[in-house]
Order: sequence, then C-alpha cells, then structure tokens
Amino acid sequence: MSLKRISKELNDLERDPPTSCSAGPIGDDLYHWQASIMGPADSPYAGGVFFLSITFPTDYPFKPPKVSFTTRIYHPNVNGNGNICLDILKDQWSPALTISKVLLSICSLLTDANADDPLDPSIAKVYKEDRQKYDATAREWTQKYAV
Amino acid sequence: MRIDGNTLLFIFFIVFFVILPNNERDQGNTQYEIIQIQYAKDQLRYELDFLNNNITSIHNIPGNITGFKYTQEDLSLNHNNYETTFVKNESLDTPWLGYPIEGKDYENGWGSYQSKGNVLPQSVLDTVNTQVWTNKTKVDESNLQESLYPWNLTSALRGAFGKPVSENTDSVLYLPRPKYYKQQFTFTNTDIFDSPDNNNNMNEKRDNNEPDLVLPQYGDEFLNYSRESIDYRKDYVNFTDRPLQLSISQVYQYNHEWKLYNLDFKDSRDLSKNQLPMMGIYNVLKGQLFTFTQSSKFHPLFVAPTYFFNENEDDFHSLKEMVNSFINKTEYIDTFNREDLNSWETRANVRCEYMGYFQVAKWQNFNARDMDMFERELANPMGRPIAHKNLPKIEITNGVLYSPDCGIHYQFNNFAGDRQEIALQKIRWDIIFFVTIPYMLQLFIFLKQMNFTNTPSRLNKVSRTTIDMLTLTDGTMAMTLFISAIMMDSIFVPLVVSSFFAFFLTLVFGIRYMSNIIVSQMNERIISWRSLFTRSGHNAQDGVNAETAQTGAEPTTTTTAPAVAAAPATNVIPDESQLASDLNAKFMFKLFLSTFAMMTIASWSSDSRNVLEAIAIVLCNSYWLPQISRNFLIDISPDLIGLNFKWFVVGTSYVRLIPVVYIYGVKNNVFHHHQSKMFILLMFVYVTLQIVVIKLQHTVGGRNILPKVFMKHLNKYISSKKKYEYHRKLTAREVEEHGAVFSCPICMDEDDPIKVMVDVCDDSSSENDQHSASENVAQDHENQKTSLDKYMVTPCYHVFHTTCLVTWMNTKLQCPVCRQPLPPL
Repeated sequence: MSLKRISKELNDLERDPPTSCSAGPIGDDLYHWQASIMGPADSPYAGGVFFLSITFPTDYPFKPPKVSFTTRIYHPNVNGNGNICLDILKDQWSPALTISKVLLSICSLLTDANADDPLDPSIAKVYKEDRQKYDATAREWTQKYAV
Repeated sequence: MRIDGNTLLFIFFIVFFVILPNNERDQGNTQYEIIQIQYAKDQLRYELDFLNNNITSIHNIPGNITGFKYTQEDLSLNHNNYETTFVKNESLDTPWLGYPIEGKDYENGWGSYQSKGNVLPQSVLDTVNTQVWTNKTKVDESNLQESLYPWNLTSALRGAFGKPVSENTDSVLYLPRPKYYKQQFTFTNTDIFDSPDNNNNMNEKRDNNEPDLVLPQYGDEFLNYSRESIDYRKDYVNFTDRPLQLSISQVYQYNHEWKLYNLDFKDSRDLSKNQLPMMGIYNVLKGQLFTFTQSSKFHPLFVAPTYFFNENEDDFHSLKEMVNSFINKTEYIDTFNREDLNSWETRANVRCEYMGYFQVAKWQNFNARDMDMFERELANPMGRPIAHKNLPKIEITNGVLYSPDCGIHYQFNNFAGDRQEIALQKIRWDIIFFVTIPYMLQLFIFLKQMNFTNTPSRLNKVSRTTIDMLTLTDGTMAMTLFISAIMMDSIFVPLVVSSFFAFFLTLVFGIRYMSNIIVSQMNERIISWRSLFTRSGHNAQDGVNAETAQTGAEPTTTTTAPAVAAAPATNVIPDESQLASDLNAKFMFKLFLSTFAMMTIASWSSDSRNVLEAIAIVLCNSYWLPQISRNFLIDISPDLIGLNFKWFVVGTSYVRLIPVVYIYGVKNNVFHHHQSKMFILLMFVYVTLQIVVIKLQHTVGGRNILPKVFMKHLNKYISSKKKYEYHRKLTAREVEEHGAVFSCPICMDEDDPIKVMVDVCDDSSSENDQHSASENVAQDHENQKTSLDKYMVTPCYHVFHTTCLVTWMNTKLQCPVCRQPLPPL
C-alpha cells in the first residue's frame, strides 16, 4: 500500500508541481526522496535553495515521513543536524497529508518561525530578542550554504 | 471556583498536618509535677532501702512496700479485732481493710510467706509449688551437661489462657496508692503551695520517708474500689478464651543465672484493649520466670527476692543483688520521669495487677556448647552448623497468673514460639512469597495488558473503573507496606521492595494507563445503564443525546437514522498532561483517604473489624464487575476485545488472591488472623465466576451472554442506539451535499474509488428517481463491489476504505481529513 501511495504522490508532484518546491526519489528507491525548497521571498532565506532528505516509513501514510534539511539553515525550529521541529511530522500527522503539503508547511515555517517551541533555544532567543541580528545571521548563512 | 484534584489534595494536607498535631498535650513540666516525681522517686528509694535493710532472709516477707501492705492473713483475721479500720460498704460482700491496721508492724518483714504475710491465697501458692515450679532445689551447675534451659527468651510465643480457674472475691486485696500520684486537678496548687501548713506537711513527710497513703474511705476514693470498678478493671484486660501472643524481650542481664525481661501479653486481634505489659525475672538455671505488672499501686520489683520463692538463701541473695544491680546500672529510679508517672497512674486506675509464675521448658540435647553456638549464630549469622529447622522452640510448659486486687487466677500451659531471630526469618520469607512475588507477577501481567491494548480501539473497551479499583488497591497496599516497613526495621527490605513494586504498578503504570483509557473514551457516545433502557424513539428528548446531536445536522427523522446523531459536539480532547495531573491528584486524594480509613479500621475491635475486612476483600476482588457492565453496555464484539484474557483476566484474578490465601489460610501468619478455609473457597468461586462471565462475553459478545429469548424481550426496552455505525448508507440528502463517489484520502487510490450506498427507503423524494439513480450508479460501476463493508463513513462525512481507516484508527481516533475525533470501533 505504501509504495502505491508514494508513487501516486510522485505522479501528482510531476503533474502539478507546487511553486517553490520540488521533490523526487533518489535513484530507484521510492522510499528515499530528495526535496528542495526555495527560500521564501519575504524571509531572510530568500534566494537560497534548501535541500531536504525524505525517508518514508514502510507503513506510510499511517506514520509520518522523516524529513530533514541537508542544507545548513539558521532557524529556531531546525537544529544543526537538520532535524525539523514540526508538529505534523510528529504527533499531528494525518494520513491525509501529502509530501507536497508537508513541504508547503516547511515553507511557511521558514517565513514564520515558532520561537515558543524551538529546537535550538539559542537561535530562538536571538529571534525573540534581536530580530535584526537574527535576520542578518540567517541571511549570512543562506549566502554561505544555500546559494 | 472549580475544585480540582490538586485543590482537594492541598486541603487534605492542610487538614492533616495543621489540625491533627493540635491534639498533642502540653509537654510542660509544672512545679506540681516536679514535686510529684520527686515524691515518687523518694518512695522508690525508700522501698529499695527497705528491701536491702529490712528483708534479710527468704523467711521474711516484706511489709512496707507499695502493693504488699496487706496480706491474705489480714483478710482471714477476725474482723472484730480490726473493727475500727474495716470499712463497710453496702455494695460489697466483704468489708475493705483500712490502712494502716492498728498494731501491725509495717517496718519489718512478716515471717515466712508460707505461714502468713503473703498477697497470694493458699490455693495459688499450692499450684505454684506443686504444679509449676517443681524444681526447688539448688541447681548444681556441673550436672547440666545434657539438657539446658534456653539462655535467652527473646521471642514471641503463642497460646491461650482459657477460663480463669477461680475468681475469688474473698481474697481480693485493696492495694492502697500513695497520695502524690493524684492528678493535679483533684487538689489544686492553692492547696499545696498557698498554705504554709500544707507545704510543711509535705516536707515533713518527705523527710520522714513516710509515704502518705490514700485511705479507703467514703467518698470518691472509695467508689473507685467498688464492685463495679473491679469488674471494669477485669474487663479492661480480659484474656479469657482468647488466642494470645506473648512477646519477650531482654532488658537486663545480670549474670549467667539471672536475667530481666520485658513481657507483653497481647490479644493480637484486639490490641487496643487487651494488652498487659509485665516485667519478668528469669532464672536461667531452673527455667523459672517470675513476672509482674508495675503501677503506682504495685511495686513487686522490690519484693522479687522473696516472691521468687527461693528455698535457698544463696539464690535469695543473688537475686537481691541482681535487683540492686539492675536499679543502679539502668538508673531505674533516677530516670523515673513524668511519662512513667502518668502511665503508672493510668494503669493503676484501669487495670488489675498481676503476678505470674512460669516454667520454661528444657531444650533436649542442648549442652552449653550448642547453646553458645546457637546464640552466637543468631546474633551474627555466619552459617555455623546449627540446623535451623530442627531448632527447639521457646516454650512455657506451665504457668500461673494471679491478680491480688481482682482475684483472677489464670492457669495455662504450652505457650510456644520461635526465637525472635528465627521468627523474623520466617516472616521475611512469607513476605517475599506472598507479597513481593505476587506484585512482581502483577507488574509483568500489567505490562502484558498494556501491550495488548496498544491501539485506541482496544483501549476503549477497557473499563476505567476496573483499572481504578485495581490501582487504588495497589496504592493502598503500597502505602501500608511502606508504613509497616518504617515501623518494622527488621523486615525492612522485603517490605520496601514490595512497596516499591506496588508503587510502581500504581503511580507509573496504573495512572498512566487510566489517563490513556480516558482519552480513548473521551469521544464515545455516552451509554449508561440509564440511557440504555430509554426507547430509541426518545432519542431527541434524551438529554445526553440531544447535546451530542448538534453537529449531526441530521436532516431526516431521528427514528430512522439515529446513528448519525452520534457525532459528539463538544469533543475537545483535553491536553493529556493536564488530564494526567488532574487524575493523579484525585487519585492521591482517594489513596490517602483509603489508607487513612484502613489505619483507622485496623485499630478497631476484632469483631467489627473482621466483618469490615471481609467486605473490603470482597469489594477489592469485584474489579471485573465494572468491566462486565461495560462489555454489556458497549456490546463488545469478540473480534475486538480490550482485555488480554489469558494474562490479565486470569492472571490478575488469581495472583490477587494469593495474599487472601495467606491471611486466611496460612497458620501463624504475620497478622495472627483467624483461619477460614470457607472464605478462601468463596473468594475463589466468586472470582472464577467473574472470569467465566468475561470469557463468555469474549466468545459470544457483550450482550449475547443472556439467553436469546430474554434478549429479544429485553431489546424491546433497550434503545437501538448502540455505538456509531461506520458502515452505513448515506441518505439522498447527504449524497446531494457530499456526493456519492469518493476517493479515499488515505490511500488516494484513484483506481479504487468508493461508491457509497444510498439509503433508498429513507428518502422522502420520489422513489422512482432514487431507484433510477442508484441503478445508474450501479451500472456505472458494475464490476465494483458496493457492499457496506467496503467503506466507512465518519460522523464528519468523510468516506474511507474500511482497511485504510481501521489501520489509521489503530493509531489515532481522529479523522485524517478534518481532525474531528472519531468514535471508537
């Protein structure tokens, strides 16, 4: 079942690709995908292209896929290993969600970080107290790693 | 303000810790008390001097010692000679003696105990001399090679007294009590201090070493010694026909011959009343134990050398030395304090005084070397070659207990028990087998059950009350075990380990599991026994249902599709941690209440306690009843049961009976509980019956356990609203609104679209239209099965493949599309 659903999602992505995101399997293994997100224009990540790796569990879509950044990114909800703190990737997962919806959610997370539930508290602190500095650092990192 | 569990707990603690300690009495030592204690000490010193100076031989019975001022001789004398000092009272058959008797010499001893001057009547003396202490000769220590009397009596013996041999009121002696024992409120400070005369008087008396005694006279003092008061004191400690425990602990060891013990007779089933602490002097060479109570009107310690009935002057003197040595070494008189004074005074008021003569049994084939090895092994276990199983018991073969001031004469034999160290060893194993291991098993079983109900749908089937009952019992046990562990440090480890397991079972797993169950049952349709018997037609009026029916947007009449009305309206699942903390606090509150109740009941008298105990045990073992009730209400299907039958149902039931079997079935258990094979059998039958019902429900379904005919009959009264039906037809109106063909949002398989069935008869519009419509649909998807089983409709009108939704519902009861809570399967 999972394979069928994953290929269905792949077809949908190819037929109707979402703006600013793309995703596809690495090689022949449908369970391992690579995705890319364009930094949203109204965010300090604008101009960067961020790569993510997606791993589907065998009981997908009943369990959420594992999504993590492979490109370094300065964000309160992403830690140094690229792990993302996003509720729909954890306990709020629903089988009606798709990869494109997940990627869109990550996009919006880039625009609006959730500093109240951070994965990296030091970034969250900067985000809350000195937004200017945060923006500058995020832009700097984007230039450094994502361009 | 909403009072939640935390608030309740807080209030409880405030009440418990703030209000209770106020009951404690003022500890202050007033001037009056200091003088009282000083007098008491002077009295004790005087009596010790009297023993040392005035009682010089075994043939010299003491005169002026508290409790021994009257003798049987005084009673038998011609009353006319003492007319002035005898006091008459209408309520008594025999007159009381006044004190002091004119012309009687209190300053010296009164000759042999055999002839006169004894507080014991002749019959008691005879019994002691002929039946109990038959070995009167001086022991030749060199002859003691084969069998010895036990060197140390520290133990807990069991036995019974039976009925008193006699209750001779003729030989009842009045024991006068020194005046200074009187409580302060009876004569006030002004009486003592304000009048210089009084003050002088007291000082004089102290200087003269002449204790001032309360004369028996008309008035309240005399009333204290009326027949009623004797009866009351007899009843206060009443050992007649009761199983007793005698705990013996060593107080002082003088030499290899003389030892001093504390003895405590207890009716273990009625501790609050029947307790008789005594002191005992043990002659190791003869195995003779002389015991006595002590109070403000009875000081037998100072007469022990004569009342031990030594035939031999050497024994008399060595015992006298022993008493002196004990009093000096332990500072018996110097450390006499207010607490002693009060307890001596209380005992004198409420209890009869007793003297006892016990004979301890010899240990066959134990020579001095064995005995020495045995003692050292017990004190410091190193595996010396003493086979624990064949060790002899401490045994009192014969004994006499006599009360001079109540005339009660008990005679008994065969009090026996293990040495304390050995008894503790046995208790330790008992606890491990009957408490610790059952709890370990239960923990294991509970984990199995939690593992079994790893999906919300299964969890939903479990009755919350059942788990609540189990957890509350465990919690109470944990508390009780913990408190016992603190009190009994010799068996601390097994008790604490058991307590730990019980706590773990309760707090870690039990409460967590309960909160899981509550979450899984949050959004189910509320079925209760009350709503069960409401006819289906009254759905709309049914208060509970009217509330939940709001989101239903049910267009058709309620009679035809009541199931749709099921969508719960206010189905916000509360935060789990919030729920758990609330549950925790409430549970703690219940736990403290039940522990408190248990502690209170434990101190009740045995008769009412036994009944309550049995009721409590039956209640604690009724935990399957809520589950059976729930199985019936939700009409559990055999395909989806909530309980791991083999482990949880059967396992828990029987493991939980193990402590009951121990308490009611094992002789000499820790609690000294009476045995009742019948009760154990009844409990087994009761529990097995519950298991059988659950098994039946698991095999044929929750409601089918009742005979079909009966169910048919009952169905007329039972409302048809059961649980929410996922496999249902949609009404034409619904189809209009939501469509008739769906793609499953879970598998998104476009090759396998879902075509819902339309409820034809339900439709209010033209039947022909509907008919043709459904025909069309049927033609369009001829090769597809449209059976009801293939798809599921949620209360929020989302349609899924059955397999897809069921798989998802094993993870979460939430609609994948709109996140509405889903009723469980």
